[in-house]
Order: sequence, then structure tokens, then C-alpha cells
Amino acid sequence: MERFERLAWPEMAVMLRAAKFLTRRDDQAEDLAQETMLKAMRAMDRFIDGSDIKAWLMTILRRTHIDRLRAAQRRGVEQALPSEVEDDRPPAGRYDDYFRGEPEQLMNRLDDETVIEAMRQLPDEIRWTLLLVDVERMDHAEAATVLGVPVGTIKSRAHRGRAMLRDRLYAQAPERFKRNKP
Amino acid sequence: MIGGRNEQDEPMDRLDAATSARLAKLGAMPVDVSRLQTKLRRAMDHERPGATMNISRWRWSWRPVSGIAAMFVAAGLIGWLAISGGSQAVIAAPAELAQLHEQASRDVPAMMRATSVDEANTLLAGQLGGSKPLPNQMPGRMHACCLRQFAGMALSCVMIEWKGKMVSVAVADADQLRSPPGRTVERGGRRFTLHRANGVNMVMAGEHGRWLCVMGDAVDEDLLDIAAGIRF
Repeated sequence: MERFERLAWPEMAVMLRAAKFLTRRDDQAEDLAQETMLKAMRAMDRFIDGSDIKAWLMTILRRTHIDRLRAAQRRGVEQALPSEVEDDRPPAGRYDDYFRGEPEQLMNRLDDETVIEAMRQLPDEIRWTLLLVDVERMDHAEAATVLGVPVGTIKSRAHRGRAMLRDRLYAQAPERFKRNKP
Repeated sequence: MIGGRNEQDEPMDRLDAATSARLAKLGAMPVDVSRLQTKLRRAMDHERPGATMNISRWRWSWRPVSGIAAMFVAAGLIGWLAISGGSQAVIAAPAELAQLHEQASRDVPAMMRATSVDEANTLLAGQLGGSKPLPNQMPGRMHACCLRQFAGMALSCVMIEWKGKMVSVAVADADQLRSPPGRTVERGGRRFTLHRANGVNMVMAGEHGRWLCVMGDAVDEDLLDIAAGIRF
């Protein structure tokens, strides 16, 4: 218990924040983060000292999230399960021309909730990649370990995911945002 | 920003770099963990080895006890819980505190200007939500103060300058907030706990009914000097 409090407890905010990207309601995010932390506490003796606690917790969070989606599907609640197939989707980056010029300024004009909502609309495997690589700044190898895929897959997903995110940001940005391009 | 990098990985084009940088800001987005902490603490207490054991054994052991004796025991238990279980201090998460410091450092120009403890206490007392009085003695040069919501409670904060660096000092009720376990250091007969999150070093202590955190990108020794110079 002491080891859990020392190593995992300080990561609680990271887990809750990640859970908010995966769910639509605060109570669902808290439930997901709580279940993750409890599983981590029970499995703490399997955590190897010196390894990355955040990556370990993220792995548990991902599995817990998938289990919850499966359970929801069994109950007949419609939920999209993670998919490994992404090539049949329309090409990403259709609105990239809009963002060219001053992309940093345009991105910073979007509030957090808009960006999070756009993230929520991404396919699960893409959302997880951006969450780990860009939001939590994990390196590609760590993200690959958490998601159980090769490093090359993480790189291509990150690139494609950012383009997909821009498409969604453009699609859901208010008209005034599009008109007042700096 | 052309050719921005994501940590150790290869260069990104400018669009990707801007998108990645915008997402990185979400990583500093504050989240309120107070409810989760409370729920988790409750669940952990329930799972603690021996916590559930012993419900069935308890039931057996109560059998031979007479009704009156049981009432006495129950009253004693209630009294003990009232005394010992009254305070549900939330553990201060270092990552959240680091965010608080980063935000406060950015917001210094917009914060209430205060150059002394008295001035800061007067300004903070006028804020909604109430504040915990600041320590009587505060080293360094004070610049500003503010009241921040942290884990569902009011946290009094002051920004001081120490050796050219901005350092945040946060004060709360010790029965509302406590330090997470960490490396402890003794200085002048006082015990301090050291933490680090997101590049921010922090020194925490709980004394005289107050919880204190000194944090910034200064080295631990400097933060310890500041913390040791603070007197309630």
C-alpha cells in the first residue's frame, strides 16, 4: 500500500485527465480512473522498480477502458470498440490548407474543450496515440509498449492522427473562427 | 517552429508541430482530483488487508456480548470515529501543484500586488472563499498573492522572488490537505517532504495546523532554505 501511495498516487491527475479524453462525462471518467487505480493497487507487486509508472498505469487504463466498452456492448449500450483497421477511412488533412501560414496561432485560438471534443471523435487507436505521444509527451517507444504495437505504427498513427484532428477541428470550429483567420 | 520535434523523435512538419504543441497544452490542463481521491481512499480502506476480515469474525465475537455491553462498545466506537475520523485530508498531488505554480508564475502580472505578509493577508481575507492566514515570517521578496481553488478548497498563494527566481508558497489547512509520502529532510528540527513534478521542485511541510508547499524551478536546497525561514 505504501509503495502504491508513493509511486502511483501522484499520477492520479494524469489518469483522470486521460480518462476524460476517453469518456464523455465527468462521473464516467472518475469511475474509469478509480477502477484503474484500484487495479494498479492490487497489482503493485508486479510493478518493477525503475520502470515507468505512468506507462504502466496507462496500460492498465487502456485495458480497463476496453473491458468497460465490451461490457457496455454486451449490455446493448452502443459503444465503439477499438479497431486496428483505419485504412478505409477518408484521407486525412483535407483542410490543411486552412491551417497553413500561422498554424500555431490558429491552434491556440481554439479552447481546450473544442480540442478535447475533436479528440473524442477520433478512432480509439488514433486517440490513444495522440494522448500518449502529444498530450502526455511519452516517447514513441513507450507509447508503442502501452499500445502493444511497433514503434513505426505509432509514428504513422501520430502523423495521421494530427491530420485527422485538424480536419475535425476545422469541421467543428465556429464560422467566425474560419472567417477571422489571422 | 519549422522542424519542431516531439521529444526524441524525428522532425515534424510545421502543421504537425503546431498540432502537437496545442495537444501538449492539454497535458497541463488542471483537473480536480478531490472527489476521486476521496472515493479511492474509501475503496482502499475497504480493501486494506484485514479490513474486510474481519467483519464476519466481528459478527461472531458480538454474539456472546450482551445488548447493553454492545451499546457501550458502539458508543465508544462512534466517539472514537468522531475524534479520529473527523478530518479527511486530501493528499496534495505534486503534478497538480506543479500546474498551479506554472499558472501562478504566468499570472503574476494579473495577481494582487502585495509586498508584505500583512498586505497579502488583508487582500486575501477580502477574497470570496476565505483564506488561511499566511505565515508571520516569509523570506524573500514578495511580489503578489492570490487565492486559488485546489482540490475543492481555497489555497492561499504568494509569489516571492528568491535568488532571481519566482517561487510559489501555498498555504492550506493541514486538516484539509496533506503531503504525499516522499523523501523527508530535517532542517532546524523541522521535517520537510521533497517532491518533483513536471520540472517543478517542491518542499512540503505540515505544522501548526497548516500545510505548506514551497515550489519553483529553484533547487531543493534553496526551497528548503525558504521553507525553513517560514515561521507560523
